[in-house]
Amino acid sequence: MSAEAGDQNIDSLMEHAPALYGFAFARLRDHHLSQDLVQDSLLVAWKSWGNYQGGSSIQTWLIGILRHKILDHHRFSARRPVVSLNENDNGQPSIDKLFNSNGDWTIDPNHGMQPLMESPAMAAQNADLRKWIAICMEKLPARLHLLFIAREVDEMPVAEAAKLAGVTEGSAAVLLTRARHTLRLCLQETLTR
Amino acid sequence: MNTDLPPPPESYCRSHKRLGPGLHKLRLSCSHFAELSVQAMDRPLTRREKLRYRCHYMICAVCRNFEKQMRSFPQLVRASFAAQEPAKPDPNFLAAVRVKLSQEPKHFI
Repeated sequence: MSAEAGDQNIDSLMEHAPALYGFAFARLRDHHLSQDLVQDSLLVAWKSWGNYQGGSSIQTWLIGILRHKILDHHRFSARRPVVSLNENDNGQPSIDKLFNSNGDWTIDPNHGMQPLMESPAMAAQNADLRKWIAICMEKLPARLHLLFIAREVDEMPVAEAAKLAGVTEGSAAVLLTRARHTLRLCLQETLTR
Repeated sequence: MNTDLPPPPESYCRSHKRLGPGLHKLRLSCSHFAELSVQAMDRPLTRREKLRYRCHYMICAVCRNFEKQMRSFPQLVRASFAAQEPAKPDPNFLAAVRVKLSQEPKHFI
């Protein structure tokens, strides 16, 4: 193998590095961690270049490797005494007082929420709603954010998303429920501000 | 915390003041409904849960609208995520990775 051919192979991997970084950062929101995992993924890809079957696109293959790296990272960090998932709520509204002791709403959950109630397609086309929900998602604690994106955007089954975020399937179900209530309320508070 | 948001409509408050305690005992309250409505996004509900869900859905207009909101949620989240400009890596980082790769023994065929 000539040095030139090696460079070409490096090029065809490095071409996807920005997309990999974008993928990692959007989910992890941690610059250094994203860099580390992208670098590890590219090294693994480089070493197993011969195994790449060419069935899927290179980028799909690389993202698969990156997902494994994220999963590994959380598996190992889960063993350390990690901060609770509810820590630093970053000013997220509390969802504990949405209902009274009879389970009745204490607030009007629909006040100001008409833009969301028209239809799913209309809501998705609304640029303001898209911007505000993004701001609310930013406020989720890191691991919950990763879990939520894995489930909602990457449409992973709950069990798989839980593994990726390094939480048990049972707590993932609870966390996802809380995340949705919190995001909805955050959006409502933004829309009515 | 949620003091800025107004209370539910008066008609809701009147009817639920009477119905609330009974519904709560039967696990048919608004909070139960909201819980089921959100859980249904992650797993199929059991037959019994579906029944509780439908019972409440029929009697509560406020929760019917809440349900409409939650229906819009996944699509909005995906659209919002897709619309975001992806973060760009530091060129120095890319250069460093390139050097690392070139120093690795060649494993390809």
